[in-house]
Amino acid sequence: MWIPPERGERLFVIGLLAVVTASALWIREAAAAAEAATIRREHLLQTLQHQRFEPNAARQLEPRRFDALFDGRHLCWEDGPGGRYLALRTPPEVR
Amino acid sequence: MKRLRDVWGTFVRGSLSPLALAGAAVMCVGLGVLHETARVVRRSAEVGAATARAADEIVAEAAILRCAAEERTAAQDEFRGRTVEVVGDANGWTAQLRGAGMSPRAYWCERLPGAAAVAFASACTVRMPSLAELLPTARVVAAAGFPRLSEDAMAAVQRGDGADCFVRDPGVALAIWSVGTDGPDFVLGPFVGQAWNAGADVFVVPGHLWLPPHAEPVTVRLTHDVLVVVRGNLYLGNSLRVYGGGRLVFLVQPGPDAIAFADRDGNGRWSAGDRACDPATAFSGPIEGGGSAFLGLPGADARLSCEAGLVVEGELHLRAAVTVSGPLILGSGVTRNAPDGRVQPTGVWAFDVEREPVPGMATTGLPRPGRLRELECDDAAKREQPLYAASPAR
Repeated sequence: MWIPPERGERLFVIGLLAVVTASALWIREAAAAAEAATIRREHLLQTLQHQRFEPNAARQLEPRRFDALFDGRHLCWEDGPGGRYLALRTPPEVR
Repeated sequence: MKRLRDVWGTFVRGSLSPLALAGAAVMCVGLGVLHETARVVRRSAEVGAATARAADEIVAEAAILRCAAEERTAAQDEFRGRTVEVVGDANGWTAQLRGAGMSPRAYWCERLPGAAAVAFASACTVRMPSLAELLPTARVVAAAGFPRLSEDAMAAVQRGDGADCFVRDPGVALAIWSVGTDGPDFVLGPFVGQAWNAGADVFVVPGHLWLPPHAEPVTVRLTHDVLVVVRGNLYLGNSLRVYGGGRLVFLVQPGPDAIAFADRDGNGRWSAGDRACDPATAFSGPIEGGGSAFLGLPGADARLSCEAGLVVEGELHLRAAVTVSGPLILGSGVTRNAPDGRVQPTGVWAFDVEREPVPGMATTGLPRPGRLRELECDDAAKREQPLYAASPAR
């Protein structure tokens, strides 16, 4: 037979449950935001890889669009013996 | 069901704590959230690793191209704690990437003699501006911009390299044209896929090449790019499928002494009413084999697909609605032998002419690195190295 706990015990357990629930909700929110960021990065990466290797798409590749992928480094076109090529540059203030 | 009723009864009778029930529910929710979070973290790590790999490739490629541009045989660069070492030789350039917290990676670029003809980068290229109405997306090039064979490939054509993977079939033309053809007729041999994947990349048909009408399409598995030079006419009466990562290009050029002409009546041979592609030249020589491609044949399907690229020096004849996946490059005009005859260059694939070789074709411009390829690192072998050198036995 269940014996009802004391009032203080009840309050402690209810408070604990409330804290656990709030933490779970907060973690869920953070995970949702992180997932959205991951999906954006993944989409950018897929677009970059497609445009890098498709001859017809490579002509339209805009390097600045992919800066978010490379953490402060800038993607840019440079001229080489085989035409333009992509390079990653670190901005002077970051070096 | 009975068990559920028992639990519910226990709860109603007050023998199960509501707090314990709430605690169990919260634990379940918490576990679900943790599982979800772990999935998100794992996916984020995967995307991060793929991004780091793409960045490594870009850095390695840039280092190789700088080394090539400065005409050095070796170069070293450092980028955000990663060392890039480039070594070049007659065959190409190798870039080694090393850094803290990463396994070493190696990349390689083949040395190309120059850029391939720009026509191979487009879905459709023509020499005659009058074809713009029929092929509105076509790019027009001058005679100098038309692709031509390299010297090595021209020598291979003279020698007839790779002709043994085609089988001579005297009856195939008679099944289509009432009087057949005068030139030698070939079909694909039974082991043509194996022969094309054996290593060589230029194969010569010393006559006409036929893909006769059939219920099933011709399917070829190619592991590398191949050029088939047809010294006569190409007769496509069946769909052609190519898979396996390699690309197939047909170059159709006039046979010995043959002159390109438009077969207006569609009888497969020179006859009254036909006209030479070059109006200044009077027709002479063999009555067929002027480097023409016939897409669609009597008795073939009204719709065909060709997953190869086509370079046609003579006339293109259309008797079916044909899609061409690779570059379609036309040196002369187009003749429709049937009301439904049309060609659609879909541009499913093309060459990166600045960085990819087109087999057998001449190049222009400076030597350059080809596309970047990742090399397998022999990490396993490194792990097996002993920590200390073995000492000689006493």
